[in-house]
Amino acid sequence: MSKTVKIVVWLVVIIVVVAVGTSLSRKSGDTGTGPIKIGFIGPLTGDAANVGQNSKASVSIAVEEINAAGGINDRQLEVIYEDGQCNGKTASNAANKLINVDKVPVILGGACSGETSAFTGASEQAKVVTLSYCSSVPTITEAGDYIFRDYPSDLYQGKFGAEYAYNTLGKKKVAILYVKSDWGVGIEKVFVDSFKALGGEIVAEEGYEQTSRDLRSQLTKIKATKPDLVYFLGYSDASIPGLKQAAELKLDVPMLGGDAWDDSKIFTEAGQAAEGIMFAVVNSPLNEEFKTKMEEKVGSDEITVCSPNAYDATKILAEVIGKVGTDSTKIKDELYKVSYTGGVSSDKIEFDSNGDLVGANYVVKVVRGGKSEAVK
Amino acid sequence: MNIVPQLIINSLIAGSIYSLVALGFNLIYGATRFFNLAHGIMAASGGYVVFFGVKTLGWNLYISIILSVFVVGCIGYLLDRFIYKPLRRKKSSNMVMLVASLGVFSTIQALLAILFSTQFHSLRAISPEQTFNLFGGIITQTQIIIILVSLISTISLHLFLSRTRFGKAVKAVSDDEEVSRIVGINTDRIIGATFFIGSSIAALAGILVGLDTGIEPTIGMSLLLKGVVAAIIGGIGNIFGGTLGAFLLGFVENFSVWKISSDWKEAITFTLLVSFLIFRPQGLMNKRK
Amino acid sequence: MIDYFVHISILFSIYAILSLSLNLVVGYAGLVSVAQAAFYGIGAYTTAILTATLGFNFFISVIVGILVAAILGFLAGLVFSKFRGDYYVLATLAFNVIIHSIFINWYDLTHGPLGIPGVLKPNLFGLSFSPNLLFFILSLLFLVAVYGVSRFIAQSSFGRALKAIREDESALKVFGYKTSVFKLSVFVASASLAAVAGSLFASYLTFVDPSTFLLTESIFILSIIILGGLGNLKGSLLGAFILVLLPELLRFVGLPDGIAAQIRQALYGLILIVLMLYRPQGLMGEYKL
Repeated sequence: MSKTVKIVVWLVVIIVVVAVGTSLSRKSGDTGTGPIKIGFIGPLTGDAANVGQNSKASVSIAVEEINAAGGINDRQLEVIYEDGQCNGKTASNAANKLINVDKVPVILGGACSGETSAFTGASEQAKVVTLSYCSSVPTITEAGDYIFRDYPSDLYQGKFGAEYAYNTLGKKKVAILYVKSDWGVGIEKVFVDSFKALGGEIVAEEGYEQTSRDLRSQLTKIKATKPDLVYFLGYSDASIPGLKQAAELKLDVPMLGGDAWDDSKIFTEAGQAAEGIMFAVVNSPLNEEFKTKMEEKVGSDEITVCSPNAYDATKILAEVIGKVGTDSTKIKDELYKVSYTGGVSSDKIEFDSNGDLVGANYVVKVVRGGKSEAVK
Repeated sequence: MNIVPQLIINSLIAGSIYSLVALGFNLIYGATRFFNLAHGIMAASGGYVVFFGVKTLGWNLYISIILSVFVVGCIGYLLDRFIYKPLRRKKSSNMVMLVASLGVFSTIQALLAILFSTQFHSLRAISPEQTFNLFGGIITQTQIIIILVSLISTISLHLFLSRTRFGKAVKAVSDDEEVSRIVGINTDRIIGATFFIGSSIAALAGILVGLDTGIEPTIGMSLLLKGVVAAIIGGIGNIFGGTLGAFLLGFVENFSVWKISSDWKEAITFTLLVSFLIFRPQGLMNKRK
Repeated sequence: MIDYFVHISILFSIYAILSLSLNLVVGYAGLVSVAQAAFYGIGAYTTAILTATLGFNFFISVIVGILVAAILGFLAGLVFSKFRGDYYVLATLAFNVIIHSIFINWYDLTHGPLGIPGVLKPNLFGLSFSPNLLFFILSLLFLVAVYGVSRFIAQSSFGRALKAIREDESALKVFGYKTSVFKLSVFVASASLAAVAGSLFASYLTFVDPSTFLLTESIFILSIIILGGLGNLKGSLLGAFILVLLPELLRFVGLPDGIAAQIRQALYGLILIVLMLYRPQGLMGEYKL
């Protein structure tokens, strides 16, 4: 190999090593003065970017409010935002940076269950508190002593959906259309078990890849099974075309969705096809002040699922850190004792011995004229 | 209710879209003999130019479509001029061209995501569409247009290639580039033109998908893969082969999920591909070389 | 600080193993394959299932992973060895999609999209490798072993035959070499080594889910070896070093978070295009595609 190429290659290697070295040496852990830093992981890009960005906005509003009120014991709160991309590997890298370079005592995140599951091993081992504002997969309950979430486990939602469909709506034959993600598959399984236990019949279980936008094959099959109700567990990007395709195929059957349908983009873009759809969502007593501030920050009145939980989580953490300081073990111990009221995501937030959110109060909303409203 | 009519309609719609993608792909392959992976992103770009025209600039939908087809054709031409032609000059192997086209694909897809975000967008207005009942199955207006456009494009292209001088020159270049050049055909210009036409047709496919369902930067790859599978099982380089393969693929996909869970739709598509690669690699319409 | 460096180094080791394994097939045998992510996934899931669900020791799971990957690689390779260049790529692509489909749909085995958490860290006679530094040393040892094996293959007469097949397969057939046996063997070897990387990955994250093992990952590994240089093992290490480090560096540059991932993708694409135009053999390679 020619000499010049060899030199170029070594130069590249040296430059890269030096660059990494200098950029790494700039950071350090909490020194007792200066801003208090916590980490945030969420899907700022990719499929779930809507939720990630919205949650980032609500967290930043919480931070502004905290700092305006004097910060935490006169120190400003600062959040280091990292993109998890709703992907295990990326979230793991992000967490590693936050834990080892930024040396944060707490990570607020991830949003997608895949993100959170990928780094709880590392954060538990490093004794860094992890408070997820959105991950609902049941396996997180067992993830560890330092792992918390202020968002309910899927076990609640699937059961609630089944009971509502069978008892309240009186539907006995349900077809399920679900996205093959941890959220979709997790809730689907619980729904099926609960619905059958109540005595109902599941006439179809059709899954689709998360990247699919053409659900016609599945909808055609579902239509043929003549269900009373379709339980449609989908994220916005597939639900919009999915609802339109269902309408086009004349699948005139009521639709019940999951909390991912709490996204105004669906109601506006699916138009007529979204009229009358219902979905279950955690009862978030959003207050007007929060709504106004979010509208200012985001530029629309959209408040996605999980962003109220992210806001509350930030406030809870600020209170806890204010009480016990930045030692992660002390923060962890104090979190178990928290009983937070007046939040925007729930009336009362408490954590059980596994770090899971205690109880989940679901309500059903229906879409009328492009807007969602609570079912009377 | 008998779902077979609906399945047939779904198959026709899918087949028409795949056929459009395969059409352009085959045209380019015929002239250059390499798998242009960037073809998929031409389809996505077509959808996005229309999106830009209608949503951002506020232009009329039809004008935006015509413009998009032209613009994407130009992009295809320019890619050939600045990337593929220099590679051909250097007598680069097919693999090098394939990898280069992969690079083009990644770069343009990233650009689309940066310019238009990764969010899914629909090109069509919100209002519900006119639907028609066809032998017990339902089809929308847009979907009928898709099938018609696909048929017209295939027939037009075939006529163009067989009846015009230009078309014959393309065929000559496909058969043997060296000889064509010796005979006096400006092969670079012909190839550039095939990129233009092929990319324009791909843009059409992307636009139609956008109207029927919607677009996002990642649709390029899935459309490309389906188009490639269609082209291969039909007979690579063969215009009608691509169409045949596309409809066969559409039918297999839709009818197989009837009996097998729709979970396995992707796997079935690719198993079909592998089966053809093993048992009839030249595709349905080509003769074994 | 050191910890972060250790974390990156562990990732580097894993990708280095993956690129070495792919280089054997692409760089030495001249067969472009995009199936690597599938074998990577097979190793990862084997380790996850055996350690998390059944409580086996990590090292046992590595061996089982190698066996499973070897068997599947053998079966797949048997089918693919008959294909020439372009079609070989497509067949490996199909394989990757099908295996990914299995990861995401065979719920009882893999828990589908929910993934498998609780994968055990390696434990040898009571010595637990869970502290990152120890894990890094372990992964480095694996890397050295894989490098040794690769080098042994490359420099043996087997390796020389592979290179000859790469240059001119027909000629070798004339001399009586059963070229498909060679192609099959190197594919099996490559699959086994990729599975080792998978086992390490699963154990490090203590969590596995299908999203890591997509076609895009295979393409990424292919880019690494093309950048580093085909047919040159040190080149693979260099390529892995650059492409694993780059995204982490960009994390510190502070790009607007909405587009950081896209900028990275655009860069990869550009790197591929530029390489193909000006240095198709990669930085340290001796073989042009």
